Formats: sequence, structure tokens, C-alpha cells
Amino acid sequence: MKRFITILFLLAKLSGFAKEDPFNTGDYILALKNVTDVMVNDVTSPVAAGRYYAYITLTAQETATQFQKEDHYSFAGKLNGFTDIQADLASVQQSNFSFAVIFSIYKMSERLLPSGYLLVKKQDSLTAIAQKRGLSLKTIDASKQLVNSIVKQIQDYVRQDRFNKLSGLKKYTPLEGDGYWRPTGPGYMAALEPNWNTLRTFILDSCQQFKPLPAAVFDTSTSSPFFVQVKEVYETGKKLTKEQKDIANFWDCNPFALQQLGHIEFGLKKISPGGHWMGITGIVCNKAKRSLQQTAFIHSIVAITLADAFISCWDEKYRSNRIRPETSIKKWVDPYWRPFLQTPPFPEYTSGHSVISTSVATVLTHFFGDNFAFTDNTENEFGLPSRKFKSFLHAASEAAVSRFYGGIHYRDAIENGALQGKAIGNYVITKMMLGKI
Amino acid sequence: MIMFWVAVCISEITQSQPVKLFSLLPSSETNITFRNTLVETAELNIITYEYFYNGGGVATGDFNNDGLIDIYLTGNLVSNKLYINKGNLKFQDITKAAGVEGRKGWKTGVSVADVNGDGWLDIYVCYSGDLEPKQRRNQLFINKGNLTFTDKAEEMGIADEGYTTQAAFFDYDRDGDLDLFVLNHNIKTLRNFDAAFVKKMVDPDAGDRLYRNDNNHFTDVTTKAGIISNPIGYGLSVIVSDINNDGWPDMYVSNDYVEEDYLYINNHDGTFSEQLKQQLQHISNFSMGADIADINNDGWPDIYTLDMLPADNKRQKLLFAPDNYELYNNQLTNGFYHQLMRNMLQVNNGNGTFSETGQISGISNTDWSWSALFADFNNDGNKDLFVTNGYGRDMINRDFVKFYANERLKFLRGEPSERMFQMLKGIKTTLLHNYIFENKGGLHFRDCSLEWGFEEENLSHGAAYADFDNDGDLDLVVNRMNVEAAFYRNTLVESGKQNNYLQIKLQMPGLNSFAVGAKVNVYSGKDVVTIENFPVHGFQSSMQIPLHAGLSSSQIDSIVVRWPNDELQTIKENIKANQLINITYKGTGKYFEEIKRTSAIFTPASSSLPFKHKEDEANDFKTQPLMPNMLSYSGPHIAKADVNKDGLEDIFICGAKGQAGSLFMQTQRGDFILSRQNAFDDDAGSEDTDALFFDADGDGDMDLYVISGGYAFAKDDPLLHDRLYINQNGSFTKNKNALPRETSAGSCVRAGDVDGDGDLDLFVGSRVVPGRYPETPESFLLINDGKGNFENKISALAPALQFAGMITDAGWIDINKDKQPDLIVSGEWMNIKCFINNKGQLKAEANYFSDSLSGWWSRIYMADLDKDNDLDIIAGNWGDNSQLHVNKNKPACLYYADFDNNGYVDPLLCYFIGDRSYPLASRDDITDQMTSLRQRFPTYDSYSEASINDIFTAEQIKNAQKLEADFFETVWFENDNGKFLMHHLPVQANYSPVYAIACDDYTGDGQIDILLAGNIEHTSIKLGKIDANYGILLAGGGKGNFNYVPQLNSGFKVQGCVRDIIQMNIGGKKTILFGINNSMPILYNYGLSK
Repeated sequence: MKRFITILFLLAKLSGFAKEDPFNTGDYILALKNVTDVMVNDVTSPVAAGRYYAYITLTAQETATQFQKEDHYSFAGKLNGFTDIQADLASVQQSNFSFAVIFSIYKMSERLLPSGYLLVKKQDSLTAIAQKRGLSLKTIDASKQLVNSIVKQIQDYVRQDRFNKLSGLKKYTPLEGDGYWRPTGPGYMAALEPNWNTLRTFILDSCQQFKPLPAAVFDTSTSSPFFVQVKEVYETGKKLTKEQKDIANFWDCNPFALQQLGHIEFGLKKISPGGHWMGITGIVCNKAKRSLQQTAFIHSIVAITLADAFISCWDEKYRSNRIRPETSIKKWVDPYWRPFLQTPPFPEYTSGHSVISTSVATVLTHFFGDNFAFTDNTENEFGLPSRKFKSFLHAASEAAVSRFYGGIHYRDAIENGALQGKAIGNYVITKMMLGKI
Repeated sequence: MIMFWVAVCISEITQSQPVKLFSLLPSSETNITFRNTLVETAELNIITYEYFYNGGGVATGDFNNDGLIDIYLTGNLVSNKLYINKGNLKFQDITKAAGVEGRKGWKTGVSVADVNGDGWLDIYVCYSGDLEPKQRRNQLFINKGNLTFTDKAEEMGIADEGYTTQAAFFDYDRDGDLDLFVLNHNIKTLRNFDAAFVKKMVDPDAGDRLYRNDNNHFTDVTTKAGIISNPIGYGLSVIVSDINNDGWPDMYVSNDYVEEDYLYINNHDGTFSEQLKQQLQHISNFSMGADIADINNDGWPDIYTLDMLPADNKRQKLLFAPDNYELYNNQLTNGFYHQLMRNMLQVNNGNGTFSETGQISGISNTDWSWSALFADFNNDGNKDLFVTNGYGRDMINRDFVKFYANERLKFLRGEPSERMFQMLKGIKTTLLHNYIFENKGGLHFRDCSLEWGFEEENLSHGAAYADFDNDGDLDLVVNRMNVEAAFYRNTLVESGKQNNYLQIKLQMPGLNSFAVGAKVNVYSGKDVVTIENFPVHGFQSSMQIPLHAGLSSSQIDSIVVRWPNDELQTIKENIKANQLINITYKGTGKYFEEIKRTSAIFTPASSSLPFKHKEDEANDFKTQPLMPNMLSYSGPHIAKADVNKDGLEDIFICGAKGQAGSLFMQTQRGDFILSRQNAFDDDAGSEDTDALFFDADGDGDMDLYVISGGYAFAKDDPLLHDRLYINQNGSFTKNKNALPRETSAGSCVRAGDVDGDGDLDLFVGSRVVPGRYPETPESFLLINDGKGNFENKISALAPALQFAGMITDAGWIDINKDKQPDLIVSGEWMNIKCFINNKGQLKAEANYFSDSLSGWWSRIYMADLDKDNDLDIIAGNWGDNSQLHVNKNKPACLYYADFDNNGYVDPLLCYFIGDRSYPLASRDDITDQMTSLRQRFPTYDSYSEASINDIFTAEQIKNAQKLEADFFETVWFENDNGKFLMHHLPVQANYSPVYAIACDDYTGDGQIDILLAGNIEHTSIKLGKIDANYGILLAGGGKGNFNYVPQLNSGFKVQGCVRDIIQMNIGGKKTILFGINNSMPILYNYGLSK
């Protein structure tokens, strides 16, 4: 490990970097947070956010790796359909590693996000800071050119993932029959991204590769396994403890909680589940004092895991099309019952948070170890106090059960979702042949 | 000399400023300084009380019986005010002395009536607000006759504690005293309920209530009377009217939000039946103020409700949420009905049905509106319309919903209510001008808002009219938020402009001294003006004043009063126009009798066709969300022929996707018996869009061609292949090899001998390329080899016809009288096109239709309408009853291309709103569909003024295809020696899209009449279902003119989407058969009485 870092440092010196890199891990995390803010502003859906994080952090990772002569770890050839990134060596030599990496985060985000224009200002202030920290304009310009070239190439890669075709595919119609998903209040929004599973996966060989165990068969007879679960959500929801409410709120991660007061409507925004875990990744990279290059690498792996986990989860959601607790409870148990959280607009099985949190936690455990404790403050800006976790899996299992407390999932969606996520996380580790770093 | 010059100067001054009809008088002249001041605090604001911005009300009436009309205004928080009219438009505030300022609390509507029947007008004040029940008790200020009042509400049992908006006094049980309906709303937010069980609940505070007057004490009879009183009825107006002219007062209740409005029909026995869904086809969504009046002078009261749709594009784009079909259908299945966000004008057909014509009448878009008042402001015999509007702050702005609210709240600190309040204060207010429309007759209203003096922008709520200066025209008072109430003097009479009126003050003995519920008809030449004497109109306001009738001439033949007990009193002698007359009840002993009608032209037939067209309920918008209308609901078409040669015509009716088309044989008795045909059953999977009986193989019997069309198929689905069934002794077998291979979605098949070889060839028009609207589909010209085998020779014989457009109908007609059949085709986004036949070659010829007239032509029908031995054409079109109004200078355009380069066609419809063309699609709809636009329009504001040039680059537009439509009227074309001259039809022809046409001398007067039917239900939510046509009969007048026959006279009450009309003899009777989408056919007989 130490030798690896030494080599890296030597290489850095050889490439003619500034004595001290003007930007570090903290700047990476801040930049990604600014990108998250734009996604929150745009009310980016959880699945869309996962995809954006994957391409943005991939860009940073591919930029970083251009500056490594040996131990060059490009993801080209390792991700589905991702071929080599060409970067002119001279161009690399004239550029600054850390500036280029941070700048690439902003540049790719500007290209991809609907409100990406909001990041142009951030690029300008980054440039100003870079100059203040000793970089010449020549180096800065060279770095920007290098990044633009990489961004362009990765955009070609982005364009082939079939996202562009989604708007032409048939929109969703709820299936006929009692056990199937129906839009839920208060917004009764149309089902979100029913064709998300048609996107190219990053690492999984297909969206169905980690199909979860089937959902409990729909049955309204009171002794059926399904209905037992319905009652479970109902009863729990009626007597939530303060701790359970705190947990539900902490992992709500609802990009747009619709408030309705008379004729007034507005949405309260929060980071998505993916945004929450990107935040955690930043926290622990910081805590473990990882280098910028390592941080870029780890974030990219995490984000790719996230994106594929969402594809896998959505594949199952729109295969099983299961009814949400709020719909089944209102119809067969108690018409006045409301879930503690607002039910998001897509079918129930499996639970998104359970799948993605467990998949990411599995990957982070691989990088940082089983008992890496941390304090999660990502929800402070939304008025929710920090929570302490003993390990990533601890956090993930809390994220999973939070959906049960929130009244938006049955237990099997959570348990089987967690298994689904774990399998995905392990697969990423294996497929990317990740050594411990 | 000086006087001369002064006079000249004055006249110059007055001439240089055109005097507007209404003149806003300042409070310095009138002394009306009342101001509905609303102070927002953290404890009380629009968030803590959802109706904080609804405003106050106005009442007009003569409180001291001195012949001058006085004014009462309610203030939500400030004290109410009573102004006594001192003459010369000077008013005196006597509130305190009178004791009518109201209590501390939240005051809403005011209803004036002589409740205790002592001849003096009393005042009922309504209360709401998030306050203790006793602070919400309504007050009844009983007039002591000396300009002082005492609150006797509690004593009389009507100190209702509900959250009241307004109340109406009327004699529902016709026992001679005034009863009371109290309209309440809820202060809790209960929206988008998906549980129908809530509708059956009874809520003590939010539910409406009916009180029966028994000897000056009121009893709650709500449930007994059948009045709905649930917690989701957010009642915003109640208007009383005898809507069905049976002499008993009925009620219309407007409900905000999801609960539908109520139409209470009086059962004469102390109960009401709620009949809205039976009589109205769709209603306003957030119904606010309303009014009921006879706006077309046909003797039947019409209903008008207000909603929130802005007139301009910018505000529309800032307001519109994306179309949500699941939510719309969810509301339907839960019993909440078809609700669309715009004002609705429900024209009473007199037969228990209403035709909604708000858009064709031009009064559908007035922004967030409160008061609607029908009154004849220019005394020309037609009731005009005044609408107030305005909302305290722009919080339904979608940028607020999606961005602004969260942004602000994030940075505000403190208690939730304080943070909400701070956020609120940052939201801007948009002031709007009120609207006034001149009723031009013929269901047409002209926007005269600026011309008649209502240019001032403000927030206006309750309003009332009265003739305050007794000069013969109606003035207006408007209650406004945070500024002084507006007093508008009507300058009509003094301007010397031509006008005539009559004011009638009714009086009767007993407890209903002002004769509430009486109806007056003023007969003047061939005109009759009808007015009902009910005081509550508009929003939170009431007017107990002499009835005001404007007249088209000064000649008055008679006045007929129908008193509340149904006694008739006719005044004939010497009634001069332009005065106020008093009519006191004189018991004549003559009661109103329903006029024995001459029997209707059409009567429901006893025969029926036992076939229910059953749609598969596809939602075409799931495939192409930006299409304006769905295309899967175009059936059934019906073909008729004597299949078994028994002298009786038989029927083939098309089946929808998944349903077999069916053959029915007519019996002597006029029944239809299904003739089971395996060949038809085998093809049930196809959607039959047209069918034609013709002798394909020349063996002397009728074969059958059925088109497989529709939209909900893959582009090359074999289910789109048409079928030819050969008739062998009444058994039909499909000839699989008779037709060339094709998978186009056809719309019409018409037989003609194109090549003059003695057999019948076929033109098959195509409607759409499934999934790729509006790309041009391929049509076919199938040439018959004489034995029933067809070859497509269109590219050789009629190349211009092959891709002529999205064809909806066609017809063979010898235009140039050379004995060769020529072809006329109609289609969507097309001119009607002519193809002249020259020895089997069909060549496109322009100049047969005198104007280019590109429309959404949906049906054509050929008949000799003017009896000059040539075929004229009736052409059905989209009509004028939608948001899309077009003309040559302001066409609708459809741009289409694969803008996103993702292999899918994106159609973008643009149309003119005002002087500029804008996209129909909302920001959400367009960015969902075209991902490349998400960066261009990150906010709703950025899209709110976008036209096509802002959405696409010049390059993209250049490379896109473009279709245009500049004419949406249904018309007839007179064949004048081969040239077709366009003639307009009555306004009713444009009530809705016409999909079915028939002609005959239905009235039996020797002239050909026209029958039009149509309607569309499966359209985008933004356009909304158009359903005003119940079967429109236009009687031929003999000179090329056609006159609308009212439904009561035609006898038609056809509900649903009509797609075909067949005329035939059934059981020896002339019969009309309407083919209705997703329903059973409806049959009518005619010509029986003659």
C-alpha cells in the first residue's frame, strides 16, 4: 500500500506537477456536492441521479488516470461498451492533475444536467482559486482543453446507453387487477421511468442478472404471507416510536415531497438515495485521508455500482408491478391510514433504498473494512441531525428498514432487496478485480 | 361669444376622449370608501386558511323602500358596510347606526331577502374562518323598517356554524315562505381523494345545509331533502333557478377541487335529486363563481361556471401541470366526473341535457375568476357577461411549486408557520383586469373589457349590479382586495346610444313579498326576454332589485309573470318601454301549463341493434404523448345492404380491436338477428374502421370489404391488413389472396368504376402510420379484375393520391359531368382535394374548392342539397368549440421530425394565442418527450414565452416537416357547375368535431335537411372532451340556408361519440341509426306523423 502511494508520488513529480497539488480530496467532495445541489434543484429522479453520478465520477476517474503512467487504471475495457479514452500525452504533461480532475466534474455535469448551466459559475471560481493557488493560465487552459477532450469522448459513450430512446418508448399503464401498482397520493404522479431497464448497464451483463427472489404472492386472505405483511406495515405505522420516525426521515431521500395546502402546492426537496450515499462516500474518504486519486477511483466505483443497482431494481419493479402499502391498506384494512413518508411514484418491489444502499455498502466495506465507523451528516442541511454508524452495512440495513417504518414498503421488498444489492456489490468487486487500496 | 368658445372647447374635449360604457367613479364622488383590507400575518394567511384570498361580497337592494338602491359590502376582516343611496350617486355610510357591521371574525357572502315577509329587505351575512364555532355563526340582520337592524339568526335557527361561503333564500317547497340553503366549505385540505366512501359522509362544519322555514323558524332538513353534505364539497357558489321550467326552483352548486358540482332538481315533494352527471357532460374543475340566466333568449336558463384558465399564453404555461391520465381516470372511477380547468357555458337544451359551448362563445378563459354576472348592460335584448378575477399571490405558478418554495424555505429560520409566512411574502402578485363581454347573440360573446372601461388591474371578488341612478341602465359595484371598492357608472342611457329596456318590480302578499322565484317573460316582436327573480348571482353576492330586461326594440307586446305558485299574469295594455313598472300579484286562477308540443321530428325507435361496440381502452398518448387527439376511437362504422335479397336492408357493424365485426339480418318485424360468420370471428383481433358492401366479383350479390385500421398496433402488424369477404348465399368467406399485401391503417373504402370497365374498383384511404403521427400514410387505389381480385395501381394511376395525407373520408362524384367518377378526399391537416378522372387516371386538380381551407376535415357527405341535380358536399370539421381557433392569418401548425434523433417522431402543435403562435404542450410534456430540450428550458418561466423559434433552431425547423390548418368550421359546399362554393352553417354545426353526417327531408317540408353528429372524448386533457352535440338537425330553408332545430323539436338526445349515421327502412319505418363508440347504437324514427 505504502509503496503504491510512493510510486504515485514519484510519478506525480515526474509529470511536472506543482510542488503541492492545489486541489485535494476535500475539493473533490465539495465539487461533487455542488453537482448534487444542482440535481436537487432539478428534482432529478433517484434513477437519473444514479446515472448522472456514474458518468460524472467516471469522467473524473478517467481524467485522473491519464496522469498515471504506471498503475494506469482506466475503466476502458472493463465497463460494457467503454473503449479506450485517447488523451494526448503532451497535453497531459502541460496540465495540472488535481485541477483537471475537479474541473472535469463540473464540465461533465454542465453537459449532462438540465440545469448544468448553473455550474459554469463554479468553473469560473475554480479557475480563480487555481490561479490564487499558483497555477499559471497556460496550465489551466491546457487542463481545460484536456478535460474537454475527455468529456467529449465520454459523452460519445454516454450517448450509446439508450437513454435517448426512453422518451420514445411506450409510457406506463397500470395493470388491471387488484395486486398491481396504482398511482399514490398526494400527487398521483405517473409511474417513473418504466423502461429504465432498457439502458445499458455498466458492469452487469444484463438488467436481470441479479433478479431477486419473487415477491410474496398477492392475496387478500388474512392469513396469506402477503396480507400478513400488509398488516405488519399498517400496525407498525400506527405506533411508530420517535427513533423509528427519525430513521424514516433520515433515509427519506425524497427529491420532491409534495405539500398541498388548499390551492397551494409546492415540493420540499432532499438529496436522492444515490446522493446520500455519494455523500457518505465523501465523508469516509475524508476520514480515511484518501488521496485525490483514490477518492476519484472510489467514488467512480461506488457510482457505477449505484447506477447498475438502480437498473436492476427498476427491472424488478416493473416486472412485478406490485401495489404499494398505502393503496392496499386503504383498500383492505383502513381507508384513513397514511404512510409516514410520502410514497414515491413507482411500483413497490423491491425497495430501491434496500438494493442500492446494500450494494454500495458492500463495495465501501471492501475499500474501508467491515467496522469502519462514521458519522453521517449528509442530511443536516435538511434539518435532520447526524447519525452515527458502526459500519457501512449497519447504515445500509438502517436505510433498508427505514422504508418499512416509512410505510412505503413491505418487509420482503426490503429483505430481498438487500440480498439483491449485496449480490450486485460483490459482483462489481469481482468484475472490476478490485484489490484493496 | 365666450360661451360659444367654451361650448366648442367642451365638446372637443368630450369628443377627444371616447366615453367608455362604464365610468369608474372615485370615492370622492360616491363616498364609497369601503376597502376589503387583508393583513397577512404568520397566524393568518393563505397557508393557514386556504380561502384567505377569496375576497368579500356585495349586495344591492332598497333597504329603506325609497326607490333608490343601496349597497352592502362584506369585509373578510374589516367591518362590513351599509351605504344608503341618497340620490345623484351619493351614498351615506350608516353601518354603525344600522348595527350591521358584523362581528369580529371572517365574513364571506351576503344574501339579501325579505326573510320575515314584512316588506323590508333583510341581510344574511355568512361567516367562515379557522375560529371557534360560535365565531362562525352566520347572522341575519332583520330590517326593522327604520334603517336599523337586529340579528335574529339564532332566534330563527339559522345561525349556521359551518364554514359558510354564501347562502340563498328561496321557497323550495312552494308553501309561500322563504327557505334557506347554506353553502359551506371545508378548511381542511382533502384533495385528490381516491376513496368514494368520503362522498357519503356528513360533515357538520363543511357540509352544505338546507333549512325549511316553518312560521319564521327554520328546521334543518338537509338529509331528508337529499342534500349532499360531505366534507369534500368546497362550495363556492349556489345559484337558484327553475332550470327545467317546471315551476319548482332547482339549484346549481359549484364545488372547488375534486368534488363535482351539484345540479339539484326539485322533486316537488320537499326533496331534491342530484342530476349533474345525467344532464351535463363535463364541468369546470375548480368551480368558483357561477350564474344562471337565459343567454340565448330561448326561454331556458343556461348555466355558467368560472374556473382558473388564463387567457394569455404566458400565464397558461406558468400554470399548467402535465396531463395526468391516471389521475383523470381515477377521478372518473371514483365518481368525481369529467372536470376540466376552464369556464363552462352550459346551454340548456330544454330536454334534460346541456351543451357546453364556453369556448365557441369566447368566455372560457378569464384567469382565476370569482364573480360571473349575466345582465343586459347595453340594453339590446341580449344578456351580457361581467367577470371579476384576481388571486392574492401567484403561488400556483409551477416555478413556485418546483423551485421557489423550497429555495426560500431552505434559508428561512424559525417556527414553521413563521418560515411559511416569510416565504409567502416573497411571492409576487399579478393584478388583472376584470372582463366584460357583449352578448352578440348566436352564442357569441365579444370581449369588450378594455373598450367598456375595465382596463384597471386589480384583485376583484364579489360584485353586484343595480340601476343606482334610476336612468335605465345597470351600474356595477365590485368588492376588491386592499383597494377601495369600485363603483362603475353605466353611461349608456345618457350617451344617447340606441337602447331599450324595461324594469319590473314584483310584489306579492304573504311572506314572500318580493316574489322570489317568479319568472317574467317580456315579449317584443319575435323576441322574448326571460328573467328569473332570484337574488343570488356570481360570487358571495346578491341583488334584490327590480328585474331589468334590455330589449331589441321599443315595442313591447306583453309581459307574462309566472308567479312562484305557477299562476300566470299577463299584462298587455299600453306597456311603454324605458320605464320602471310595478306589478303586484293578482290571483288570476290561470296556472302555467306545459305547452303541448308538436311531436318531435325524431322519436326513439322501438327496434334496436343488439350490438355493443366495445373498445379496448388503449391510451394512444402513451405512445406519442404530444399528439392532440387519440386515433384509436374512430369506430364503429356501419355498412348496409340487402345481403340475402329479401327486400330488407341488413347491417354490418364494425368491431373494435379484439371484437368481431358483426352482420345482422333484418326481419320483417324490424328486428335484427345476428348472422354468425366464422370469417368475421377469425378477424376479431383487428380494429375495423370502415366497411363497404359491394359486388366485388360481379356475381350479383353483395360482398364485404372491411378496413383494418387503428393506431394501437405496431407499424407492420398483420392485423392491419384489410379483408375482403365474398358472399356465397349469405355466408361470407375471406378471400385471402384478393388484396395486395399491406399493413396500413385505413380509414375509408369507397367503390367506383375508375377504369370504366364495368366492375367496381376501390379507393382505400389511409389515416395514420401507427406510432408515427403525423407522417403521411400510403393510400391505395385497388383496381378490380372483374372477378374480385384487386391490384394496387395508385402510383401509376394517381401518384398524387398515394401520399395525399392523413385521409379521413372520400367519395366518388362526377364533378365535370363526363360520366367518369372523380374522387374527393378529406383529411386531417389538409385541404379537401379533388382528383379528376381521365380514362382511369386520377389527376389532382386545384381550384375546385374556392378557398384553400386546410382543416381537420373528418367526414364528407354528398347530397343534392339545393335540388339542382348535382351533388353538393357537406364537410365535417373539428369545429370551433376548443382552445384552438384558427384562421388564414393565424393558422395552427404541426411541426414534426425526429428532433431528438432517437428514431421516434415528435409532433409539435403550435397555435395562436393572441397575436403569436405558441406550442400547445406544457413545459413538462415537451421536456419529457424531447430530452434535448431539458437544458434549454430549465424553468417554467424560461418556456412561458417560447414559440417554435425558441424551441428549435432555424436549421431544425428547416429540416422538419410542417402541416398547417387555417379552417376548422363544418360547412357545406354548393356544387356550382363543378366549382364548390363554401357556405357557413349555424353555430351549432361547430359545437364539436363532426364524424357522421346524413341528409334527407326529415322535416317533411320538401327541403333537404342536414343531420350532424360527432363529439370526441379521447383527446388530450388540455383540450378536454368536446361533447356539445346530441344530434344536430339543420333544417333546409330552401334558399341554401339551414336553420338549427332545437333539440326539443328535433327530439335528439344522443350522448356519446357518434362515428357513423345510417339511414334505412327498419320495420317499414324510416330510421336513423347512430353508431356510437364503445356503446350500443341508438335508433330514431322519422317521418311517421306525415
